[in-house]
Amino acid sequence: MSERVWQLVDGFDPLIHVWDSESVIYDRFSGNTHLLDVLSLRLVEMLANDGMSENRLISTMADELVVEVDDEFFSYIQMRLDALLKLNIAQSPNV
Amino acid sequence: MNLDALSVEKLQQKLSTEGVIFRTGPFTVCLQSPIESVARGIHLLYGQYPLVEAGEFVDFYVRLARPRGLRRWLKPQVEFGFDGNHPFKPLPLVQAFPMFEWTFNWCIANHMHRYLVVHGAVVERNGMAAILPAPPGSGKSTLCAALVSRGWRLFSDELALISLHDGQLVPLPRPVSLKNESIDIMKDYAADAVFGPSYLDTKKGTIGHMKSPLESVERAGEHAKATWIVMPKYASGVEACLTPVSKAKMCMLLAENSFNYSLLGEAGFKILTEMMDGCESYRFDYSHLDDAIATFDALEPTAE
Repeated sequence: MSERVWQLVDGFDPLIHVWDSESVIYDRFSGNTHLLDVLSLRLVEMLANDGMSENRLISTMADELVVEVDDEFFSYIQMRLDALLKLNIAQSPNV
Repeated sequence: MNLDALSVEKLQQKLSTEGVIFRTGPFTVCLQSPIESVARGIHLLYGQYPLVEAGEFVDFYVRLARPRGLRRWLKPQVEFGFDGNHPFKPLPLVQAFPMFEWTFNWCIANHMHRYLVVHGAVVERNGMAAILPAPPGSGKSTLCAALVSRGWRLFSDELALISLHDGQLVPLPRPVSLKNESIDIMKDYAADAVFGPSYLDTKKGTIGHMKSPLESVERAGEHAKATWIVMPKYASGVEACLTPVSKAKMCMLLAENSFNYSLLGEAGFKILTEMMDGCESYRFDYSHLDDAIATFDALEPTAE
């Protein structure tokens, strides 16, 4: 089974405004506005240039936060990726 | 010359014929109506508003009249006309004046896209304005009326106009619309204020209007910076309490409560987020108007 890869949806063109630990993000392409926490925004930033495997996203995030990648952290980040999927910000084409 | 320079009879005669053009906030409306209760309502509640000479630019041409047909004799109604169109079903004739208020809001919310238009009251003091975004039943208009009766300047009890040009709030002082028990509460609380008649059995229950204070009408050209966003919630027996709300969450709430945020797109996002940068945001629970006013009077501007 191939590893899950994430990327931003085609056309996604965000304007981002950050306040403390939260941000609002306006997608010029869809016209939608979303509220994102700091980790979700970081995931969006990590995907901005290119797609990334789920494992690499999670390990990079763990490095930045200086935490161990355990099951809890893994599902914590997966939950945010799934939320980005539902918001039509990110997609995982190979699933 | 203000509208109350005309007698009620003269006003009604003009309304019935060429119409009366007057200015409220940044907007000019030409109102035509042969209905007597409209003339009385306008004379009582809009008397201090400036008349505009025929030939000047008019934002909205509004007509309130009885629809034609047999039904007019069985069940008298009033119909709203806008630029010759009739976008809404008629209402009972006795609701003609409230219909003017509702449809005027509709005109602004659906056509004035040089502003981000948010559903909420706005009051101002010392150049600093508070936006009160809230759903029906939250006590927004009651709180707005109480604040206005205790020295805050009325910008609007229904539509917050945020200029796309500079992000400032633009006053739109019009009668404060009160519902049900709030009408008597405010008549007791603001004994010096002028109130129009109560209209029973409207789609919103009983409706009454409190006249905008003269100072608010006279200063309608003075814009102000949004300083606080306060989402009020009336609940019996609670202590007045301000609870901070994150800027991002309040920004989303304002966007959801805006009539034209989606239409404005990027410009709406930019003006809203820039405005939020300079605002403090709160949820506000209250049960007593005096406590609520004391809380508002103690609000401090954002530390920058």
